[in-house]
Parts: sequence; structure tokens; C-alpha cells
Amino acid sequence: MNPMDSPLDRLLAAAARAKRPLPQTAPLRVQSRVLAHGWGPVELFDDWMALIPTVRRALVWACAIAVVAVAIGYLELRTPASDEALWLNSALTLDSLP
Amino acid sequence: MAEERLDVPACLELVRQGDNEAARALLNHLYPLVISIVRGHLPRRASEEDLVQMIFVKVFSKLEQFSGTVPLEHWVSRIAVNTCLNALQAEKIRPELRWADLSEEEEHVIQSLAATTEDLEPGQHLAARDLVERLLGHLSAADRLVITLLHLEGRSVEEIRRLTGWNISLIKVRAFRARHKLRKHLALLMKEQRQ
Repeated sequence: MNPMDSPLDRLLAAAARAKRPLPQTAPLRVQSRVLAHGWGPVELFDDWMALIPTVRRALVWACAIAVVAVAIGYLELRTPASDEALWLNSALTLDSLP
Repeated sequence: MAEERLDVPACLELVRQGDNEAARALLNHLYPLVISIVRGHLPRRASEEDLVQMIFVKVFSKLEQFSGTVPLEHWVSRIAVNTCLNALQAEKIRPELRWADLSEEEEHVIQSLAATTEDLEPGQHLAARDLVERLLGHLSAADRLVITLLHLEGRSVEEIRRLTGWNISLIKVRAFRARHKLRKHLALLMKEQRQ
């Protein structure tokens, strides 16, 4: 055994030995609530709960992509047009003059 | 006990036909198993009864899918463990654990761990359990589940594989990482105790 693990091992071993008495029958309240639901294929809220982390991750990624797109657009606007673009632009303007 | 003599296949058949009394008998037969899993994996803020109800509703609603190739208890355990795992994953807040937050008994446990290399006394076992549950609150749902199953419930890696559907390497890696994190948090508490 790794001596560094010793306190953790002793703690876990002691925790595993802690026995709390367990009820042997379901309280009537629980029985009524469960049986009132009936049975059969139903949509469960719990199944949707499992999707929450995925949806949250997708939202974060969508936001990150949107921010990057805005930043790129902004940089494009701020960057002065190259000489070639200016030359072409002036040529087009001159062409369009009567 | 009456619950131990329950004829499970016959009871299942009656439940499938819509017999309310058979459903009640089945619920009572499975309750000790489900409550022990829920208590071992209960998220901090969740209500025990709500989680038990959620598991049983799921069990009864999926009863048609139970083929009988595995014992009913294994099938129910798997549903219970996965439902608890989902509830743990939904719980995002992992509060910082400080020395000042510990109860007097938990402080004694830390002091004993720091002072000796002996096993903790039987009178400290419940406080040790509470302390472990507090420490587990720092771990992710999957890490917490693997430590609880492996170290607190004493299940084998093979049993955990059956319950969770994770492969054996993943279970071992998760257990290793989870132990590393637990060790780090425990060391911090022991350091605070010395100061």
C-alpha cells in the first residue's frame, strides 16, 4: 500500500463500516406517489435532465463561435484596404465617370 | 419475512396485467435495495423520497422491457444507479470545504487520521462517513459514483461495469483520478487542522 494513501484508505475503510439502518418497507407516502403514477411507457423528466449538460455545452460553443465571427468581422472593417484594392476602386470610379 | 418469499416472476406477470396489489408488493420487495443505492449516491440538495419515486416510476414504466435474462434486482440497480448519476450531474455547485464547516466529530476524525496510523475507532465510523460524503461533494458525478461503489459499498470492478455500463479501464482510471482528488482535499483539511 502506498503510505501516502494511508489516511484516505483508513477514512474510506471507516466510512464503509458505518452502517445506517435501512427501512424494510416503503413509506405509505412513497407507495401512494409511485402507484398513483400508474405504469406504462411515459416520458420522464429525468431523461430530459440527462440532456442538460449537452445542451449547455452546445450553447457555450455557439456563443464562442458567434464571438469569434463578430471579432473577425470587426477586424475586417478596421483593416485599411490594401493598395491594390484602392487602385481597383479608383479605376472603377474613374470608369463610371461620364 | 414475507418480502423474501415473494415470487418475483409471478408478481411481475400480475404487475404487467395492471394488478395494483402486486405492484405494491414488488415495490416493497425492491425498496430496501433502492433506498440503499439512493442513500449512497444522494446529491446534496436532492430529496431522498423524490429520487426513490423517480426510480420506481422509471422501473414500472420500463417493466415491459425487462426480459428476465438478468435478475430483476440487477436490472433495478442499474436503473437506480443511472438515475442517481443523472441527478448528481444536474447538481453543479461544488462548495469549498473548510475546516470551520466540519462538525466536532468530523474534526476528531481528521485529528485521529493525522495523529496515528491506526484504524479509526468504531465510534468514529459515522463521522467518517459524513466526512467522506462531504469530500465526495467536490468530485464530479462519475468520480463520486465510482468511489462510492468501489470503496464504500465494496463492489468489484466487474459489478461496477455491469451497473454503469462503463468499461473496466475507464472505471480504473476514474477511480485512480477520483482517489487523487480526494487525497488532495483531505490533505488540505489536515493541513488546516495543523495550523
